Amino acid sequence: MTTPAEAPLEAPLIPYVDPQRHARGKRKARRDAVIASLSTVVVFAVLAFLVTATPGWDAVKETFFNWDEAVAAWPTLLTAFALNIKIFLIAEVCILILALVIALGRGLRAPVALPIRILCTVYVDFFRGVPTILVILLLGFGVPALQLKGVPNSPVIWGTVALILSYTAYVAEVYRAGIESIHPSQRAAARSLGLSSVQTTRYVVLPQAVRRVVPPLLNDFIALQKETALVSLLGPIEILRAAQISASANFNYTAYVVAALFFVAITLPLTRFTDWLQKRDTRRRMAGVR
Amino acid sequence: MTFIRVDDVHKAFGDNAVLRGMSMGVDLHEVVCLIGASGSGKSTLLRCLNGLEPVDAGTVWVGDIEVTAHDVDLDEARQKVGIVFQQFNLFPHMSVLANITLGPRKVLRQGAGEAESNARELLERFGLSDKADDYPDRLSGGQQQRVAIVRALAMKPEAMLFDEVTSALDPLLVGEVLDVIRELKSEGMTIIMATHEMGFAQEVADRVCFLANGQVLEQGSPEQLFGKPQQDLTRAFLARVSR
Repeated sequence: MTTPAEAPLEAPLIPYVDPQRHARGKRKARRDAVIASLSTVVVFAVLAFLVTATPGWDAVKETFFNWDEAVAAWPTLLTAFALNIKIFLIAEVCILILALVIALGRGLRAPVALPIRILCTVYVDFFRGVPTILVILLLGFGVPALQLKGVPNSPVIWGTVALILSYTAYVAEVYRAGIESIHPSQRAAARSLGLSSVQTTRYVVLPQAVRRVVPPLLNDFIALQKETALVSLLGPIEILRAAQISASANFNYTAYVVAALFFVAITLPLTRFTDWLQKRDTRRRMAGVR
Repeated sequence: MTFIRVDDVHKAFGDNAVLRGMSMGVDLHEVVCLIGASGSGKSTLLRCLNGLEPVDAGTVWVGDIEVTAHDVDLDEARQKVGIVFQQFNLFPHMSVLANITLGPRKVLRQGAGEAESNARELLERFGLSDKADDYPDRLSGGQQQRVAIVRALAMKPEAMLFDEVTSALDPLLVGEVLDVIRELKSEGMTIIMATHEMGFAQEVADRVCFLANGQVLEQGSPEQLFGKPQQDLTRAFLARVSR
């Protein structure tokens, strides 16, 4: 079957721009670029001058930005940072899975599933309300104190578990918001094809929901990556603890600054990626509006 | 032979009683158009027919399945009737082909190859072959709606329900969707269609039902209903839409 409506109604239009306007536009773009670079250079030059000209600058530089200290400290910090990376990578994988289970559990409507729904809701309410640092102390010192047989008492393990418990609550809410943002008509369309409720969630609702929540989810992961430093409270030599040791040995805080740079370096790509995703999402949705 | 039978169905949303003792029957291979003002219950009736809305009272039969029975397997009943919505409701995260093959693969348990070749055949028939790998948001409204129809047809339904399928379309694109419905009629598909396209109803319908106050107020052949309407409400409605 061919439909005449398919045929284009008019020939494609060739863009036409007045050459004078075009030239004027180009001139303006060039002028704008020059102004932008000039103002940037001037502002930053003035800032640099003001900072270095401040009376206390030499002391500040010596204590926080000591090049020799930085060079001496960074290999140790890098080794220690490997532990932070290990903690958040393991935690992120566990959180992604557990949070999805909790979010789906809260969405169960069958009467027999009521206890599951209650458990999931209580879990989220509790761990969203309790400070992460408290959970870390409670598990990290509390569980090994029980001296249970067969239960590991490594502070790294219990610190990671605490982070997982705390962040799963947040991420579960992110998932749930995504699931609830899918219009009911999508569910109706899937059910009317004969798909079961589970199949509808699996093939129609979840894929769309997860795509929608990637930016807020990455946001939570950025926060998590920083919070791995809290595990230092339990004693293991991760980067913050390593920086602390170095700082107190030399009475110099450069190691903290280097540690800070490590955290920024690892979160920056993720922040930029999140920004890019969000922008792409907006663009797509705008393109969808006809 | 009556294929779909609706008997004294009541359905309310909160205090708003939409269906109030609705009764009607549709024969196999019959094309029935539902007309009536917005809120007269056309969409609600269609949604009750495949169990998307549970009824408050009354019975609905589709073939030998009572959709309103308390122990009915709705997933099975829904395979008998395809429904197409005003807003297309394609799955935006899936290509056209994936939209169409989802039901056959997951519900009818067809293999991926079989489902895909069936889907391509249907797309070919409705002039959409070159859209198979596109995503819905790349298609015009008319194309999206035709894909939605193909998606429902892929489940090999015995009847099709159309819920104001052209109401969200640019006037230029209405024709291509109506062509598809004409083609289905010529193949003997049983069709119930809620519509505001009176001209089209007059052309394809075997029977037109005018819905008012949650009931079928008047029904008959298009000639009867459009030519010699018996009820004041019907006349008033037709006068308003033909203006």
